[in-house]
Amino acid sequence: MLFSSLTFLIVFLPSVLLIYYGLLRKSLVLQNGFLAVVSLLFYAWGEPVYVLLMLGSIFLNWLLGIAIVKAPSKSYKKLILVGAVTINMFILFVFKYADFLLGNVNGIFHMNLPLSQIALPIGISFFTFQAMSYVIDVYRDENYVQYSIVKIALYISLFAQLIAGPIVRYHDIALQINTRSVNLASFSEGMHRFLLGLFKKVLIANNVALVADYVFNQPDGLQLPFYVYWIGAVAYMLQIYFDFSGYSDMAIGLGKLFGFDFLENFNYPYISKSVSEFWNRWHMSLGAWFRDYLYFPLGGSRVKTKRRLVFNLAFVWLFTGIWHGANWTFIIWGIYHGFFVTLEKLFPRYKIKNAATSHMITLVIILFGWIIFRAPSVEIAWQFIMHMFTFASSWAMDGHTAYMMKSNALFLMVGMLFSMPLKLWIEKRVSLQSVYQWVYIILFLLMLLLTMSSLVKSNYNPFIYFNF
Amino acid sequence: MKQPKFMIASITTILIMSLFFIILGLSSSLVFQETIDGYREGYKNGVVQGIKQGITAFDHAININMPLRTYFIDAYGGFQRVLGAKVIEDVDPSNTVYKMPEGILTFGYQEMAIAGYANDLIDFVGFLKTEKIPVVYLQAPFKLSGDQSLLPNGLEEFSNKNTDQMIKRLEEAGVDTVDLRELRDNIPDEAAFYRTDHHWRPEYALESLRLISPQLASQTAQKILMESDAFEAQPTLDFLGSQGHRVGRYYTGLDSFQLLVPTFETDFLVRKYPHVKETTSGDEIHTDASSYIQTDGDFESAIVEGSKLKPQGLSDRFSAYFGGNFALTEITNRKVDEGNIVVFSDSFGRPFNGFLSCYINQLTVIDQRYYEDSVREHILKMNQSRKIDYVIILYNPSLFDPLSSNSYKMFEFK
Repeated sequence: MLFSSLTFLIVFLPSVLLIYYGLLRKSLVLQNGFLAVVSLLFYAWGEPVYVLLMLGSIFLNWLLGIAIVKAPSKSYKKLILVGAVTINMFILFVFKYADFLLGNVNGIFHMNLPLSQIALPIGISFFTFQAMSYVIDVYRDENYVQYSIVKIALYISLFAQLIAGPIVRYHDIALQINTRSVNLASFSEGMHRFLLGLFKKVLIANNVALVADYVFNQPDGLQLPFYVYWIGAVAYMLQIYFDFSGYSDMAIGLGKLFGFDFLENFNYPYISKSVSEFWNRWHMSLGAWFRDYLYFPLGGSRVKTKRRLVFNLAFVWLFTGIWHGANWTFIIWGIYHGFFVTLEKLFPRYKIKNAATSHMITLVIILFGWIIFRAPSVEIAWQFIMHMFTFASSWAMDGHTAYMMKSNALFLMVGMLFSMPLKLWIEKRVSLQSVYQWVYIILFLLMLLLTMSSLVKSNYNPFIYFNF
Repeated sequence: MKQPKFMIASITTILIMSLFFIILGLSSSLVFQETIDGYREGYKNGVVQGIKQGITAFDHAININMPLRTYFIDAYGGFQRVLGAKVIEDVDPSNTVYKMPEGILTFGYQEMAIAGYANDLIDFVGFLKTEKIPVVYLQAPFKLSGDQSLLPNGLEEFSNKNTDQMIKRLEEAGVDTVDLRELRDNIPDEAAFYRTDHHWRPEYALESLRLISPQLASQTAQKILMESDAFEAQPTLDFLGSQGHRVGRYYTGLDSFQLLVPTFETDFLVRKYPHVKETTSGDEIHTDASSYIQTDGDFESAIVEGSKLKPQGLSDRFSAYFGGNFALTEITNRKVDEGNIVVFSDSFGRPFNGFLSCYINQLTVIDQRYYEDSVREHILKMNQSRKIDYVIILYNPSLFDPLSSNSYKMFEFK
């Protein structure tokens, strides 16, 4: 089920809120059980078969968590942990990477191994990483063990962040599963945050996506003027930001409606002045997961040799790329970012002092990264980049391209403005004026009307990060 | 949280959502029924498919029954107008709406492989010729007459090109063909098509009948005399056509509709069968056409569906002729003794069929999108009981698009 669907907005969410705060308001146990059940229903709405896989994952990791606590010695505990991580990674491998590997083996060794053709379960990378987080946290601190399978089901499957994150580490939320509170202010803040995310997705991401898709989906051999490719790349850069951060806003807002405080996932990444800073602002929950459960266990930055540091970084960034998908484009994208992060760590003295210059360079690096990420193959990504620097073709756009650019120019501009902390800038200066409050409310309700009307017209795209 | 704006905005939203939830609950039986239908349809391919189709049907039903749906689409269209959008995309690409000069809306179709459909038509014409039943293919026009520059910049539309191919194939095969697009030059634009609907106006349908009336008269014992004052227009009504409904009333404004009715005395008996399908009972196969709607009286009582002409609201005025699409429509004109014609058509043909029925004794209209039995057998049975004077196949260019809803069925002629 999509957050940006009428089924969710008009049926699922109101009925869940009604039952949660009406019938079950006096019992947190019943509220937790209810949330776990409706979360599974939420997942089954899109994946009526793979919900069984999720149930299996919940049961298995619940069992493994208890097994770690009950294990007689440290070595047994470690063995169970290794087993748990292996099993989770194996599940992820089978459903996400097996065909990619087999395809490459077939290609390299001219073999004809049959592919499994298994469809990718929605959000498998997210819920598998959350499941692993639980087992690892229990291994590190046995106080985190959870004997109630309902609570584990709630943690792994909570519909608010189930499909596209943020990836919630168990130790960040363990306490909230057992005790949490909501008041009118936090509830309102949650609803407000949810709606802002919805606006980002429906009003900006979906419209700039039209430009990005148009440019990226040009047939082979047909070349547009070079600057159109730049516009297309910028459009995708905005699309993925508003799409994913919009989803994260919705998830964080929904969490607040039920008393959960998820950590932030985005912090204006496009104002970064270095690639390292970008990754401190982009998909922060994934970065934190890799830092806590992979980078630090490898030794992190506190290692004796630079070679080891480079190895640690390369390992983490390779995994970051692979996590995003079974395609060479994602792997190269991960390595590409890892390369720049490593450079910045190894040669801090060469950091560019001029803020505007470093900002521009960072944006260009990220832009080229998104081209690799978006393209269906490395070859097409390369062709796209070549088109960006091919000046031989006509400078004039054909009629259709001109129409596409013109009709979506407003959304591109709005997207660029709101990818910067413009709202915060305005609020710092005028937030106390009551006129601003009313202007804000009117604009908010207007956006709600436009969003609802767009949803009724059924102009939506699936979320990009559902594929991961 | 210090700022009351969050609270006001959020509480307003919650109230709106709750209101919609309650209103939607009132139409829950419709949603439930559509979900069950979806499940049953999918269940033919297994339980999982049944569940998936049930879910899809539920989502669809929620959208269709969304409270204030029309107003939301109006708001959407108004916003798109402000932005200067000339193309309003639809989930179903064949329903994407293009805006031309003077706010005229149109659908657009891609280049189609016509050969398959043409062969199906030629085969059916061959069958009719074997039975010694005269047949004519009437090619209804497309809204965009061919000037591609009317479409938003750079977009191309292929309906007329597809139609040219169809006519060429049919003529090569010796099928009697009349291209009604040729009338376009004689009919003012405002009398040819609606601004917000894909159908032709009744005026165009009437001129088309006038054009082929000598041809029909030559095959039937009944003379078809069409005087210039044979039909008159009723008062103008506001109208929002099928394309207008997809983009809302504020995108290009409202349209106008005038019903054409005969000026002479008429008396009809009309039977409209929503579905005709083959059913089995034991070893026997028979046609289930047990339920039908019967209307009786003059043109305005029997042919015209009055509920579509209420001044208030923006109902589908074009459906005033016959009230909608039916698998089979049987019209008996009690004022005329001769003439037995069968017409194959979709919604486009409704005004044409209404006007034609005024001049012959028996008119049978078949819409193959809903007719699931053998039309060939039906023709044979009809011809045995009473000689069919003529078969008319009246198709419009949108039917050549296989993605358009069920249009492929129009060429099955099973």
